[in-house]
Amino acid sequence: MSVNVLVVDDSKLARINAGKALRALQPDWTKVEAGSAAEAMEIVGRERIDVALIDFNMTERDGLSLATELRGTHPAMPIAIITANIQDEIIAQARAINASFVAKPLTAEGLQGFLSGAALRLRAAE
Amino acid sequence: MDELLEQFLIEGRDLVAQAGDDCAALVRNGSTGPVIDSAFRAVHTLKGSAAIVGLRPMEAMLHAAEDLLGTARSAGAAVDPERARALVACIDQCDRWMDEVAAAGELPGDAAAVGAEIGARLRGARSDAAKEPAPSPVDSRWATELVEEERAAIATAGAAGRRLTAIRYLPREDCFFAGDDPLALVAAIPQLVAVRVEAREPWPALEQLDPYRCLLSIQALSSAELGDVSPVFRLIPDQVELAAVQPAAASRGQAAPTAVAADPTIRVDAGQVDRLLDLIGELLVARNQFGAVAGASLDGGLDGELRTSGAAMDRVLRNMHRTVMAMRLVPVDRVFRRVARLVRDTASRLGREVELEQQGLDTTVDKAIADALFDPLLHLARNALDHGIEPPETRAAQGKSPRGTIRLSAGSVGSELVVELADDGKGIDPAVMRRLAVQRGLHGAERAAELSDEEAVQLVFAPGFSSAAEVTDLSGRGVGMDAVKAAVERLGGRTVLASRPGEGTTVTIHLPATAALTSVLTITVAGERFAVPVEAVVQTARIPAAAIRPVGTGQAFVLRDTTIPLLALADLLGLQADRCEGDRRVLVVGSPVGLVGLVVDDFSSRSEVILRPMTGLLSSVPLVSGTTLMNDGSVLFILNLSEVIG
Amino acid sequence: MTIRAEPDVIRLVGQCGAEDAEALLQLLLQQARPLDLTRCEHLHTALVQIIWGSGASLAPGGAPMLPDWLCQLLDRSEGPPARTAI
Repeated sequence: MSVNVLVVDDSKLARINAGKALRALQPDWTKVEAGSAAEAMEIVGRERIDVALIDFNMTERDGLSLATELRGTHPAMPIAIITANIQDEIIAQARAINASFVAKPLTAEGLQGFLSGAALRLRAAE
Repeated sequence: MDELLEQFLIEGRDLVAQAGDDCAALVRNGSTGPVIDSAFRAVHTLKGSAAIVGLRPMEAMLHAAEDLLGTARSAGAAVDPERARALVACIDQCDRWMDEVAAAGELPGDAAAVGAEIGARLRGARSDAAKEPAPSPVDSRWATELVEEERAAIATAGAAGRRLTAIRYLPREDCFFAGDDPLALVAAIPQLVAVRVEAREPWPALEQLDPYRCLLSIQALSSAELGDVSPVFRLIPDQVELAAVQPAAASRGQAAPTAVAADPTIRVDAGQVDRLLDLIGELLVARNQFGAVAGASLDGGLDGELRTSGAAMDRVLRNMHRTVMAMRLVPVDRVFRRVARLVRDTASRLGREVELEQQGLDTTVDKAIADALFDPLLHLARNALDHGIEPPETRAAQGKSPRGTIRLSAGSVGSELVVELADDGKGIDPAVMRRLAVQRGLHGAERAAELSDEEAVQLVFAPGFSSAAEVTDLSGRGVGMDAVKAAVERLGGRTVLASRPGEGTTVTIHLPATAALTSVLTITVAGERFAVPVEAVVQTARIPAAAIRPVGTGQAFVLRDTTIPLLALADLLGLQADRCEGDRRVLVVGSPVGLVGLVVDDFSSRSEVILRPMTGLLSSVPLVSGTTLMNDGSVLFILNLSEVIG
Repeated sequence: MTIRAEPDVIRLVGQCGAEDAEALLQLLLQQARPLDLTRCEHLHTALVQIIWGSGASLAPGGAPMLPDWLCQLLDRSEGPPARTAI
């Protein structure tokens, strides 16, 4: 089964970087890019998305609010919030919607834990 | 330019423009609200981008800007004019740096200093107010008990009487699905003193074990401050308890402070440290021997307890070895100082004007390596002065600064020590090298013409080759670049030379940071035993005589679709060997021309040994990189396979 | 592939993550064999749990790239409780 990973970040640089880390860890997975929360919702409505990597700090709408909306329609989807500064209240909110954290800037090493967990969950659901 | 950097420059310009507008507005009218929001986001993203492409000074400076804007944003306050101006300076600096990065691919050398200065302006008076209060020590019963039970471990770690941080970590059963790796988090705890792992339920049989359910409960002790341990568990606060534990020793009166005040260093004779290292080497041999004897007496099946104690011994030995190696470390500046003095003396004698730059003086290196580095560095410095740096008038005529520069630098890169000597002199002319190669009979005219520029320049390493048109009193002392290369290889390192005509030459020496344990394979050749480093051996194979085919004047065999030339190691070593007709035992090793098969009589087990560099007369034998003492007390030569094949 | 089954040993190579857990479990259930960790750079907790459950021994050479305390914890034939000093 091919796995589609949605990368949401308003910086193209960050999306390229995420793609690199993703390729290093799961070369067979497909990256789908969204430059904003609105675009992300549009993609999710159109195609199957299995995993989401969402930047916390975006201009129009922050990543946590997008993640919360996604969680409503995708109760089991592995979701990670990518962020550099983590405040405890954000951790608590992310925990409440069962989202993971990945440190920014994104590296293969930092992403590894989340991706292997996601792979396990997808396989368990098969 | 690589894709990331290219994209960084595209996006970065927009972000700088956005942040610049916002910050200018802050200066003009002390805005709050949306302008600060917008500036914050631009600065935050720019900081993240700088981090992705590894521009640390820019990232650090922007971090200060982000903190300032973040504080103002959450307080709903305006940024005071002084620091708003610092913000503008910060964004201007980013703009300049992006020009530099676009032109040179990296930040200028003073970036760290410039960034730090602006960072300090951004922080202004905020720094003292924003200090987080130190977490107050909490004593919990479980933590005190843990410290009590692990007293032996605490003493072993030399942490007795110190404040400790106790960790109690109960991973969620489904934590693997969230990507957590509990033992990896434990491994990330700084200054770990002890770890205890317990099962939450009786350990299930393998058939009943759910591979994705975490069954562990973990406790650990660290001698780091609680504030340094807590970031490790930042993302799973719901599963972890931390407690600072005061040492029970506090009641023992006031003896401790005096001990702290004492000088923690003692002077030890270097010879004694060497002796200690030799003893550890012998202990290691004894340990290997013990393993062999124990293995034999139990008919190969080592009893569990024996194995465990063997493993414990290995650990202690490794630690001892590491500790002693650390005792032998000295800063490179003592070698550099000697080289520098010589450079100054020689330069004035030759009428050269030279600026000597030195970097990485506090890099530490094993004393043996420091001592052995002096001669090669001296030779390289002489070469740079003699053949590299031009006379002042020549330089001036070419539009160069009349003063030449020699840069001597050292640094640690991964597990390597890198020492570099660079000059901005005339460089090595590949055309001259080709001509000399023909003159000195190294190559025929045709072959010489075929050499690439890169290859031609590397001819300086050929034995006996000296690129000086005439032999001078300085560098013509019978040591050429080949001697430098050989000396570095004897230390287990390699030499890399890069040169551009008219621009200068850089010689980089890569060395292993420590003379660590070496894994060797024992082989027999012509009835004699030798050792070869395991990392030099790609594979051992047994080749039937029928599979060996004549190729030209030699022989070859096919291994996994690759034809590999076959050489008799005995011939290469100049030993008399009986021709054998049956299966050949072959070591497959890498070489500059690809894989090569070496026929040996036999090979046996691998073992960990301390390589002793060759001393005295034998140090000039290039085929041998050192000796080692084996389990049975015999001394084996360790073959330098790249020399043997070459 | 990070897990390699050989006739008398199971070799774990490189970064061994939780996704290898099922494969390792199956191999050990088929036939108990010693584990060669000499080239294992990372061993996920899920794999450590299976190794404890199997009682498999470590092949000679130990696990030089793993932290010492973890080697110490691994080098025992039954599951936790286990403790180690650094």
